Amino acid sequence: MVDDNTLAAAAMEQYFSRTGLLRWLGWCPDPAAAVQTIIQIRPDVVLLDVEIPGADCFAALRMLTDQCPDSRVVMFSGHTQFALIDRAFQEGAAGYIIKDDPTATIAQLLIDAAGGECVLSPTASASYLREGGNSA
Amino acid sequence: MKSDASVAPVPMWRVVIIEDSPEDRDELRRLLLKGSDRRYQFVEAQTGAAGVRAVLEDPDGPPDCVLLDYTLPDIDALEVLPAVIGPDGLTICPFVVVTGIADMRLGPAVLRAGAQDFIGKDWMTAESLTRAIENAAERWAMTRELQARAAALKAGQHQLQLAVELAGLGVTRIDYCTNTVVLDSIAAELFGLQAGVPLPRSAIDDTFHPDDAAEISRLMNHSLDPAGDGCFVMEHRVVHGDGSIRWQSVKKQVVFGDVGGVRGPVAGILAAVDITERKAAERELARHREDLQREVETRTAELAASTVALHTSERLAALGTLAAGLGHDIANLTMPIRTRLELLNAACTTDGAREDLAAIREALDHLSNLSAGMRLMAIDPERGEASPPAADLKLWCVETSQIFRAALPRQIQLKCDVPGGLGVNIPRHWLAQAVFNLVQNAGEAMAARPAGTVRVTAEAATSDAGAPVVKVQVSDDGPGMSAEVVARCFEPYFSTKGRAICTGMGLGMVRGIVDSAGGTVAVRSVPGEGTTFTLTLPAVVSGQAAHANAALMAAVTVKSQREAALAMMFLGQLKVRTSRHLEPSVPEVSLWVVERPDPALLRAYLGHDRERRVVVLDRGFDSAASDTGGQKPWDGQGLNDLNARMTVLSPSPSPGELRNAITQAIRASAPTALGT
Repeated sequence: MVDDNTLAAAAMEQYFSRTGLLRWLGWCPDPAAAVQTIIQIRPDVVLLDVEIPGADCFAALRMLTDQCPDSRVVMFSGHTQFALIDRAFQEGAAGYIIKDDPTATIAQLLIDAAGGECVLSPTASASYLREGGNSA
Repeated sequence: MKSDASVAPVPMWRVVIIEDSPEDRDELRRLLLKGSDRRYQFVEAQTGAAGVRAVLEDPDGPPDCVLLDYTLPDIDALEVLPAVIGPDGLTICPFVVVTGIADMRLGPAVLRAGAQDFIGKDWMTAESLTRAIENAAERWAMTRELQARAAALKAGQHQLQLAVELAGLGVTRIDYCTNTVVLDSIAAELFGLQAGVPLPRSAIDDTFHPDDAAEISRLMNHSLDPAGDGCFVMEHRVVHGDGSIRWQSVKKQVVFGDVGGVRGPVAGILAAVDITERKAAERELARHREDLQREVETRTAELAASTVALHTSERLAALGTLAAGLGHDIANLTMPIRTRLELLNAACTTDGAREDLAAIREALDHLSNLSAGMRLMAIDPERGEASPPAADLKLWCVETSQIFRAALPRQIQLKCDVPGGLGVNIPRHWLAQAVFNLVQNAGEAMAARPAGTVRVTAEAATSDAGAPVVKVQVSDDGPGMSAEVVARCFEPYFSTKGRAICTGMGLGMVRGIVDSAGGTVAVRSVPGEGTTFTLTLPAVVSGQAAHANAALMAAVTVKSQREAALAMMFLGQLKVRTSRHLEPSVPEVSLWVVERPDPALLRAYLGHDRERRVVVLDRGFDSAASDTGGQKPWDGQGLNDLNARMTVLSPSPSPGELRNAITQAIRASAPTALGT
């Protein structure tokens, strides 16, 4: 998990270690540093925050899809704006999860992503599909 | 002649004697020389013609005097004189006619002919002759002087006349003895009276405008008072015979004199000039000045209002930023809290603990909704795309009711009655901000009351054009609005409140939002009963895919993550189950979104079931070639008859293209599967 919200990361770690749904490898608040680590440890799935002040998260996404294609990168965001979601998928994200979702949903989406699927939070899908239809 | 400086120079006169008799000439010379100690220089001529030549052609100029014999051999004096008269009607020098004829009647004739004097030979003496030429010279000089002055006077008069005419001055001469007036042509035009003929004084008085008459009378009497300066100066109106009114600037000067032993006005000169246009221009200017003043005041007020509005917007913008930031921070905090709660829930064993957790969870949900509501409120209303449509009104209401409740005074209740299954095609933050405004207005209207209720409801309906709409209503049981306020309430800047942050833009914004969403807003209010605002908005046609679609299954295998995600989401929205694996034997309908289809696999799949359809995203496919009827990569492989059941899209289709292709393919293969 790459996110500057320490409380959220700690909570996720606890959740996964207690439920055993996924093996938690670690978290890092800085995308640039995280990329190096991720390339080395090669996780199945990465949860990457879309907006970290002072960092370019999309650059990290591109680097990861280039150098670490087997690691599925799922974006983590508070927004449901079509532009962000579309950009994420364009640049190689395997999914887009909204922070407001229940933790169980977040967990399931991550598991699906790790299994090779493309995932999108239900709350975001409606707007994404509608907006996407409009931009045809 | 030399003149001695210590003695006055002896005067010398040049005298021309025109006399044919030598004895008479000698006599004249002798008498003159005897008559004074003046020195003389004589020029003599014997004929009239010679005499005239001597006078006119003398290189030293005309002589000081000429003695002219009446009777000359060629012409007589009466014929000589006209020859020596200058252009001004005066002889060019003094002439004294000497006559031997004892006819006294000659004298006047000679004087009339232009001579200054005449003298008889019989009675002339040295003294009388000398006196005669001296008098003649004096008379001549005086006459010349008089003529010059008369000419100067005439020229001066002429100039004055010209000046008066140029100035447009009308001059009226008043005779106070006969009480008549004479107007020149300009004055006549100004007063609307006749020119050049004496008119009674009352003729002018009658032209005075009744409104000015009193003041004119007062100043007039003052000017006729012999103790005063006799001046009358005024600007007043006159009325012409045709009813037209003109403004005049008038100056009168009265001359006083003795009238029957008493000092009184004798004559007067009145000069008047038309200033009607000037007066009109002055009025125009004053009006313009007033207009300008009003304009400046209006603009200043507008500027003040704009400045206030600007400051208010700046405060609002700052608050908006703050609210957005807060919303974001709260969301960041609620996520870990929620996660921990779930963990606690899983770990807790007692009912009491579970209850506590449930309560915390509920409070957290409220907080979540509050922060979501706050973020919705903070989104810039200018940006319509910043949030998705409120496709589920019930859900939207749950989220936003927190913030609506926060906008109401404590004693006012909020009741939300929004059924499920309704959706409106308007961005969530727009709907939130519009309804928030209406709820807040309702709350403020009832703030002074001990209790009240604000209701937010929604129901499905059909517009006049037959399109599905949803009516969202905000109603209150407050004091209501008067008809006048109802008529004006949507006007920008119109406000009946004195809020700390009040732009008067609230309802204007609501209307703006509703208009942008393609809906309408209406208000109904009964004073004393309450107000209801109704937002009529286009309904969202929610996916009608029924659970019957559980039977539909699609295979999605696309290397591009984006298209894969899109396809799966479209299908998910259509409630079609998806699988990432190609299975030729799939019940009911199968849909492939395939990147590089293997022809054998395609044949097997499509040939197996006439209903099957395939949507192809072939990276090796050249859409241009297809447009011109070019060959597809799998041509010639026995799939020609199957082309109709394949939809080929260019690589990287837009989400809309992909969705349309998938939807069409499903419809084509299973028309009833998708419902409406």
